[in-house]
Amino acid sequence: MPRPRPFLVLSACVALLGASACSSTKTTPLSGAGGTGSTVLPVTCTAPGYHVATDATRLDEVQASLSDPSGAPVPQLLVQVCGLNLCINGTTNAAGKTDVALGSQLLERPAFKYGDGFLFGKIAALLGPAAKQDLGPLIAVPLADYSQGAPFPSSGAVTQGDITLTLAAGTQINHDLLTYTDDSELVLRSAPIPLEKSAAAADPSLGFELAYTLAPVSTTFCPAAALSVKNTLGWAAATAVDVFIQGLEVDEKWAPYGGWVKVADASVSADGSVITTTSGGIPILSSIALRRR
Amino acid sequence: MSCRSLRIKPWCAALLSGCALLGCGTNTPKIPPELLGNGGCDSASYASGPFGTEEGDTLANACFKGFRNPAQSAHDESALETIAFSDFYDPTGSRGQKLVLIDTAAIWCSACRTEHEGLSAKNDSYGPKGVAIVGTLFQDAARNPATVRDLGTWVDTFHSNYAMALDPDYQMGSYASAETAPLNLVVDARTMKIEKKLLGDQASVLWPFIDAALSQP
Repeated sequence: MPRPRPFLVLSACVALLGASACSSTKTTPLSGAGGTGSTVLPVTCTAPGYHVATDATRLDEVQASLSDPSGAPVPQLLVQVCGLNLCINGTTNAAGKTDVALGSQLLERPAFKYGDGFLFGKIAALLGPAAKQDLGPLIAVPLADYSQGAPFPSSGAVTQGDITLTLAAGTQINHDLLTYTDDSELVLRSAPIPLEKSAAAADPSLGFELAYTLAPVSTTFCPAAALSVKNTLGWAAATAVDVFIQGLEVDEKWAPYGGWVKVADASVSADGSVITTTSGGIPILSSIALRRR
Repeated sequence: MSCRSLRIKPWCAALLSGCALLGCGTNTPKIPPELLGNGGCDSASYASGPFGTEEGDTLANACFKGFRNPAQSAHDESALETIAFSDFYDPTGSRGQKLVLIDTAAIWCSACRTEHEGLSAKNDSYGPKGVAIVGTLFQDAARNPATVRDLGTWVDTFHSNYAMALDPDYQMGSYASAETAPLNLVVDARTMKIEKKLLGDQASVLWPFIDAALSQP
């Protein structure tokens, strides 16, 4: 069914907290998603912006081998080598291998993106300076079928898998309707990222212990959505947690492209069942990662 | 009836062509130009060949379906127009056309999206100086040929105020692989020669080049 607008606005953008609730910069914490009050004011969500000019990298070839979490090769998987300036496509072969020829192109902040955001979560691995790079084995994370996805409410909680997002009353939800052209695709889906096999995408030095890929990719929330994650690792009650998102978009509005940025503080609930944001939230759907503080 | 059976090839060809164009006095509507010959690209006025795909070569004419001015039209099938490179050919400068910026894009290409976020503003400032922008959308997020709906969503998303055309068969494939985007061609509207060919969104190279080209007599 054709849509009348580029972005599906599920509800008007009003907030209970005030105009500053969802503005954010690099130096101020992102807004939370809850709050009560009597004043209804329009919200303007300003993306922090993370672009920093960098020298371009000359790339000839990028190789990788994609398998699913069970170890089975993933054939015909969409992969991309994208810099801020240029994208080059590739596809995995029957053995899950890909070899993207770049012809010595100059790419700014190049990353290897794997997964299409439809069947597999979209994940990025920043590339180094070498002209030829072999990323070795990577895990493509299958997303749940659309039929198992959870529709977004205009406000309140939406749960899929281990992930719950809570939208404040009046939250503005903008989907990427260029990518997701059917309403049935506009449902929350999540899947855990096996961090022990995903070092290229999530540098172990960042200390992440839990990560998920989320879809529909690039859906934005204004104000940012509160997040709850099942405490599958059994962290102790009241443990303080940092929540990060990965930047998948070259506009770098919400996160550095291919990198990670902290967007929220969280804490393990008193009963130890969930990890819930206490300040900040999820402004855009991409991959998320958590670590104990 | 065929020209061969009539054995009067030249006369027959002329007769049939005339009938096609004039309807031969029947109630047949006039045949739209895009259904004749090379898809509406048979402009009487276009730069002569030989044609090529690199800087210094003459751009071959090509035509597409799209929205000539998306800011002033609907964004569905009903508003599709034929857009040809020949539309921008201005050998004498009488129409004030100096340069044509041809830009390829695909929905899977995040760099293309970023580029198009700023193109309407560029069109506002460079259009009056004689620069026409023509964008061509060739694939969707899954690399399938772009559709009219994709094009409509694209111009909605980026508030495009310049010509945006569909290129589902990737006619621009002569200039760059379908696996690589975006591509920018700066073409001299007087000669249709490719003055600059850039792979990728290279704004810091592209627009100074256009500025320099515009400053030349």
